[in-house]
Order: sequence, then structure tokens, then C-alpha cells
Amino acid sequence: MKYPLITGFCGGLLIVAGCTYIGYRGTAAIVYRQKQSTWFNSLEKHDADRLRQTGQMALAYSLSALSIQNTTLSLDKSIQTLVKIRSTAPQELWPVLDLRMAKDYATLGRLEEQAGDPAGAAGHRQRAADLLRSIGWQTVSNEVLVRLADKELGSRLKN
Amino acid sequence: MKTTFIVSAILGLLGGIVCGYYSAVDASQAMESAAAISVSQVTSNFSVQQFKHADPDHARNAVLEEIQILQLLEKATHGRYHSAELWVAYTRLAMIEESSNHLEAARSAIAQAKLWLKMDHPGREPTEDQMKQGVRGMDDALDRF
Repeated sequence: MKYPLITGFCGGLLIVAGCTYIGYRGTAAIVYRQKQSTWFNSLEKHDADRLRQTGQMALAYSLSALSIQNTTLSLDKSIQTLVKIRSTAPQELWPVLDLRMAKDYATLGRLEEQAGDPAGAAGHRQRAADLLRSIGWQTVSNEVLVRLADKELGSRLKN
Repeated sequence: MKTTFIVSAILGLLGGIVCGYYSAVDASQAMESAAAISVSQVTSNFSVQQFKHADPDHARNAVLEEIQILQLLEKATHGRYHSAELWVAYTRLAMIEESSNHLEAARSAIAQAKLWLKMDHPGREPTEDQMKQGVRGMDDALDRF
């Protein structure tokens, strides 16, 4: 070996960096998962489990709502994310997710109407109306859907 | 050189494990708080919208779910951080029960609302009508927002 000192130093440095990274990622993932399972532990087990599961889903829902923009692409993506969250969410949260999806469908319908695509708009409005009826909304007219969509389009914060 | 590399690997791993542990503990605490804030906000927003638009059964379910979550959070935090949300939710529940002609359930809900309101604002005792008016006012303000 030509420069054993330099090779040893650089090699050691690389190994330190690599092992630090591996140790950090591995420990962080394991410890986070373990700590996560103790959230709300001051409650009884059943209540803590329920609040933990609902809390995690609500957080995922809130974070996904933050990134919604008023474009068909973003709304389509939001609906896909909501379907994914709904598939693992506790049943109590389904109506919350259905209302968000209904708003996204109504907004998609409004955007398509504005872009001159009445067939697409009608399809998405129908989906929005079905979802709203499923969560007990009493009046699901075209005006209600337009008002809902316009409110969404005018609001930066989707909830 | 072999020894240098082995020592480097051990030092690196130890450093990574220590940093990873503290970082995970901090992240978990932050996410637990975020989940608590998020779940109360999500269920409260939903119950406001259901109260305005849904039939009494669905509106009642949404408000009851909100109340359960808020009471669990109160227990978990050993505090009175959600007493304001709870008196509003119970007042809403009373209004739903009244509209369904369940007068006994409405009375019980308004009694709970008064208890939580007392914890939120000791010394103040508004009438039922003032409480309902307050809730309607908040909903209108939220709607405009």
C-alpha cells in the first residue's frame, strides 16, 4: 500500500459515516415504532388503542388535505390518497373521509364544467351526491354541490 | 488498518444509535401532540358540517363521536384543554335532540354543556338560549371563514 496513513484515515472516515447512518436509521425506525405504540398510554388499553389509531389516521388525513390544490390532477391524487387512508382507517372515520372525497368530486365537477366538459362534470357531481347522501346530507341539489365546490375553490385551507 | 476500520465501525454505529434514539423520542413526542390536535380538529370540523347539513341521526353520530374523542383527550392530557369544545359539542347535541323531540336527552346534554362551560369559564352562567345563540354564531363565523 502506497499511503497507508491516508488510506486508513479516509477509509475509517467513510466507515464511521456509513455506520453512523445505518445505526441512526435503524435505531430511529425501531425506537419510533416502539414509542408510537405507547401514545396516550395514560388511558386504559382499549381507549389508548382507539385514540392512537384514530389520531394517526386523522393526522394522515390532515397532512393530505394540506397539499390539495385547485387542479384536476391534485384533486384526483387527493381522492386516491383518501381511498388508501380509508382502507385502513377505523370505521368511525369513514364518514369524515367520505365528506372530503365528496368535496373533491364536487370541485372536480366544477372545474370540468368550467373547462367545457359537461359529461365529466355530471359524472363527478353524481359521485359527490352519492357520497353526501350516504353520510346523511338532507339536501343534495346541484346548487348545493356548486356552492360546496365554489367554497372549496375559494379556500386555501381544505378541511 | 483492520483495527482502525473495526474501531471506526463501532464508533460510527454507537454514534448513530445514540442520535437515532433521541431523534426518535423527540419525533414521537411531536407526532403524538400533532395526532391529538389533528383528531380533535378533524372530528370537530366534521361534526359542525354534519350538524348543519345532515339528518338528525347522522348529525347525532358525528357529535357523539366528537364528544367521545374530546373526552378521551381530556383524560389523556389530565387537563381542561378541550372544555370549550366540549360545551359547544354538548350544546349542539342538545339542539339535535330537541329537533328530534327527544326532550329528556336534550335536557341531559344541556346539563353536560353547562358543566363543561363552568369549567371553561368559572363564574359565568349564561342561559340555554345564550349558549345556543353562541354556537349558531360560531357556526356562521366558521362558514364565512
